[in-house]
Amino acid sequence: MSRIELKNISKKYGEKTVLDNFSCEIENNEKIAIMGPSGSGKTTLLRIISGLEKSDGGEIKGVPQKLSFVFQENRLCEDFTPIANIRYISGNAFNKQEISDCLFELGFQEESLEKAVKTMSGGMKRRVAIARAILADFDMLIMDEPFDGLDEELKLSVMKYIKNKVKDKTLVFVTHDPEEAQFLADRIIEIQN
Amino acid sequence: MLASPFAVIKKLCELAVERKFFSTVLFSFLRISGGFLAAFLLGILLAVAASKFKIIEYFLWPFVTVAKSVPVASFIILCLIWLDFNVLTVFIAFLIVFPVVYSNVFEGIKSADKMLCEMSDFYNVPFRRRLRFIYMPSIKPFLLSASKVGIGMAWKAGVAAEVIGIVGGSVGGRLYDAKIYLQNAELLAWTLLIILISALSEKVFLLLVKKIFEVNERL
Repeated sequence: MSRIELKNISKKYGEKTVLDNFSCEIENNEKIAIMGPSGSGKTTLLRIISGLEKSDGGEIKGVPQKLSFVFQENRLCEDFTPIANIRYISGNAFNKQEISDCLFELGFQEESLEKAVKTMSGGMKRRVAIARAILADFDMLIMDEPFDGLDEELKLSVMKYIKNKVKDKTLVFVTHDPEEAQFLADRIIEIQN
Repeated sequence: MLASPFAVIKKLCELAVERKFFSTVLFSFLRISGGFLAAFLLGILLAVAASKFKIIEYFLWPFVTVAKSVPVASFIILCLIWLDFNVLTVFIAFLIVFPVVYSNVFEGIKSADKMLCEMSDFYNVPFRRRLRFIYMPSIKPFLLSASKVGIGMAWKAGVAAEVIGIVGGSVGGRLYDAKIYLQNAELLAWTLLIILISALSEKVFLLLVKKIFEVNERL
């Protein structure tokens, strides 16, 4: 896989310029944290890299075909169990035990696996969203503020889990927390307003 | 003179022991329920198809608009010219319920969570899986509401068709007879029976629909 190149990426919403000639390069299997103040275009940048949005100008090259995304919102099917939510994306790629093992590693108990996601706390929902993204088939993982809603202890174990799972993959994530960035990233890109 | 509630209930009990009572009720029940079920299934099927293919939405729009606004009596009189009286009740119940189910289910699909749809596009989730995980939960309240309204409307329109068409051996036919012979208590007794059957069918049908959704969520 080649490196990802972003050249002079621009994006406007109405009159507001969100990204103005943003350029960067991401090496294969590199772990990148994107930091910056609110409204500086971090989420927009992730959406452009992932192809969810088109930039108004500039060029993107080398983005892998297989992407996975931990969205800022959990985007879970609330009436269904965590396992069903994961199967929604991964189909039959993993059996029930493999999915359960992944959820156990993220701190789930056996009994919570049978509950509908809508009955779960924000932190549990977040971990389901992370497990779903990790169990998807991907070469590059994109995460938008993935650890929001997790307490410090859980956050550390989830970060360790992700670090282990993306060893040979490219990771790009947005965070406000320098500790998260330092723990997971090889390099930090700061975006200014 | 309006018959007293006691007289109405007494009449209903008398009717219930008549030899032809159950066959009369069954005659109307089967036709009205048949029309309702056909409209329910076809309404869901075409709403799903219309949400996927714009051409179906455009093709159905005039029919649904006309079916929603034309008075039921006009439909009944028109159908009396073309249809056999055996099919009349089924067709009228279908015609009245179909737009309700179709519009509600279509609205339910349109109101599906846009973020979930975007996530599904991102991961190329197949349509059948989206239907089960995103669209079914989103149409659930719309379908339950359509079922509630639809069953009542099917009975109203179905019996009206039987009355106007003077369909012999039907509940509507008996209502017509009661009206002709000014049998106030009998007319109200049949009306009460229609209310009871309609309410009971609604309860049973809603339970069934809720169960289907529950099974879908647990699979």
